[in-house]
Amino acid sequence: MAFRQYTRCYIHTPGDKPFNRDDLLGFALGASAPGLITAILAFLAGANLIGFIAIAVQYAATIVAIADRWLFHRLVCLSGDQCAVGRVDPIEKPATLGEFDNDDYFDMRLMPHRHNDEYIAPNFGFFAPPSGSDPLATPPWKTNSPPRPGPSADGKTEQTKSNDIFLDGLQGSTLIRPTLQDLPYNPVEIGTTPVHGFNEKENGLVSRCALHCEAEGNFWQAMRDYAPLLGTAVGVGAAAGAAAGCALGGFFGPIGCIIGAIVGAIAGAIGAAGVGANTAFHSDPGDYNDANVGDTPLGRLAPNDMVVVYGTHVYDGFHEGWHEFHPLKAVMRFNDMFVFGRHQYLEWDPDFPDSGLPPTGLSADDMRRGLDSPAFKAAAQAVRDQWCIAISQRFDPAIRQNQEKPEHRWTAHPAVDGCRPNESPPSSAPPIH
Amino acid sequence: MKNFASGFLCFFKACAELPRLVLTAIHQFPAFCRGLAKACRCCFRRPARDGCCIDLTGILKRPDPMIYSQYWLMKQGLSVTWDNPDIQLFETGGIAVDPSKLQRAHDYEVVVRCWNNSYDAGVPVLPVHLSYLTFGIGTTTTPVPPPRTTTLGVKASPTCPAFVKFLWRTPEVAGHYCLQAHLACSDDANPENNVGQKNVLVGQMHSPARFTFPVHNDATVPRIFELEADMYRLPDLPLCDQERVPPQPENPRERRPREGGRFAESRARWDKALREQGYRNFPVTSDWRVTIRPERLELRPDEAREVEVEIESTNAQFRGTQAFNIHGFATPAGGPRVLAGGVTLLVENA
Repeated sequence: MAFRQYTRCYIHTPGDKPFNRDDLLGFALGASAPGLITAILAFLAGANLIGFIAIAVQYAATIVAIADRWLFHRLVCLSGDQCAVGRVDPIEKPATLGEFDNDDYFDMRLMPHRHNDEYIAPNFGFFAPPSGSDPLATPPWKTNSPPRPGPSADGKTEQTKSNDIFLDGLQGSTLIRPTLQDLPYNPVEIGTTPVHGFNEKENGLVSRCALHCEAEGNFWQAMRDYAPLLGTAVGVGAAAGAAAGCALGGFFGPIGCIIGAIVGAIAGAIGAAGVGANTAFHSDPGDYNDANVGDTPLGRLAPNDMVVVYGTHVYDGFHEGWHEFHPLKAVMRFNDMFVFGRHQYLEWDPDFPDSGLPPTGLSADDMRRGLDSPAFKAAAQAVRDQWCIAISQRFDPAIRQNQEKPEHRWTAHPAVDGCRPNESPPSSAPPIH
Repeated sequence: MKNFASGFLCFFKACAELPRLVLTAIHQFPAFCRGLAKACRCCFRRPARDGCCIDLTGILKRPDPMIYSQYWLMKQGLSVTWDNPDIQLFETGGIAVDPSKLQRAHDYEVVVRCWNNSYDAGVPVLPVHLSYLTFGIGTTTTPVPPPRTTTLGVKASPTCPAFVKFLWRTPEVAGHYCLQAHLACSDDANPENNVGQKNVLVGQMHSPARFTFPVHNDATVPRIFELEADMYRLPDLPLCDQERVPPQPENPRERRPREGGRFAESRARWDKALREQGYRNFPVTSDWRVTIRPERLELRPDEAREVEVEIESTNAQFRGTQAFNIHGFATPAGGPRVLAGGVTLLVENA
């Protein structure tokens, strides 16, 4: 298993709230308070050493508390390990330390949806109007009865309800459609979604309709593992900063020394915390090299690549709320739409011309109707299934166990560097029977 | 306030965990130092994510459909046989047929066995092309239509290996033919191990056994062909209980970057195969005399010339079948020497 997993999703119960961006400051202050108070009292009492030790302990404990929330109380389990087929959306710009982790991630548009199916405004068709001035999809939210399509980019998706992403009866319905009515699915700023290519110049809110996929980085696990070291660094940094500040401020007398010490301690602690966080950020253990001799370089995933992904289906409560695959466990890329007339990917097209060449077994009308056409829907389901089998076999426990057997560890060719299972006799018959 | 209170309570829980984490931190100290060094080298900046593409090494998976591919194995330095174990001929009734004793204008069933060298990614639709060539080295191919497709599962799954059946009607012209199979996959981890060839000819020992076959230069430049003989045959595989699979650390946090893993295992297996089955490890023994005429020839583009091979046993007691592989290496002016093809000659003495 080459994927990495540090987080653990948890079972959500009504009334419970996953760790959220808005909770972070209050939680961090609460976790810091006992240590800070102890430190301040110690400094006032002149027990500077105890004060700096309290700062070290406070920082380490706060990191552990936040890491635990981040790792174990942020992701709500939904439907377990799932697979999805789609296209990679535009890749978001660099994340920074401010984004709180070093995960690799991308969004994907699920098959068979077009780019123009993506919502360009809050989805008032699906969500019932909120009460009062609450934002759309604020819990406890309700759906319209029956739910209607959302606002698509070109207005053509609404003409066939089945092609709406939340209502498609296929991947959108099972993987993205909001389901937890006591958790928010708030619309997000256009600049944070792939719908408009992360165009920061556009303003407004949209309901998210892309599947977010995150391959886990180790940042918070490393922060947790290093917490005692980070705490020590912050304590020492604060002490050194205080000493330096006092030495500099001391030119202006005792008051200057005290002010310098306070400023120096804060600066030293922040500096040490920054260095520690950066260290955790760069502590990624690297990838386990799972290639065979002779494999060509993997290459990188680019926007519009057709992919099948496999990961754990969760609700990420840290943001405004959406469904995602976290951790992403495997990705396969494929770039042939057709192989010998068999379609490997489908995308409905309301403007498909009569003179166009539809995939085998489908008509131009099927292509125009999209998921409203039973034939098209069956074909899309079949395409999804074939890719899902290809990517998920590896996660079948029986196959995994089989793969560890010596007769399956060959790498050049089974007839060259393989071995005979113990029950089989040496073969003199043709190798293929 | 609720969050503040929650954080306040978590502080004490976290404090209780700190002593245990001290041990973890001591254990992780080398990793911490490596991270610090890396952060310093990067000037405390995160590696650029350019908004163009994303690097998902570790979870981006590709299939590796493959067949016994002489060109790939020889390129790696291994000896090869042209009696491909992954291509087999049958009468339409299912009886295996000797590929050197085919009737003209007759229907045969050709079965191609496809393997996947990937533990992680299958191929839902794998096209397989079959073609036949006039027996010899570098001869031109004629497709056997239509191409077939199969579904190939990950290694050690029920759908690996996958078998593809072709119906092949031999040409009207009598002669010896060889078969070539090609697996086509768009995102293939190793596209070089997808072509396999079956080139076998049986001759009776009449002191000596004589074989003739053409050598053809299918390049657009003149090339020098050198023919070499060896006695390699596929090894008798050992029993699996003699194999030892290197243990895999389950916890990714116990692994160091680029250490261990399947690549190391793959490298070790290739190295072992090279030691035991490397090219030139199977020279013609003193019990046999193999004469190739000519051994070296220069051919213009598209030129073909007949080569004669005589094989004689110096041991009059020999009974049975012995295989000889004749490999043709082509060298253009100023270019590298590459494998151009080969044949396996079976000498029988009842």
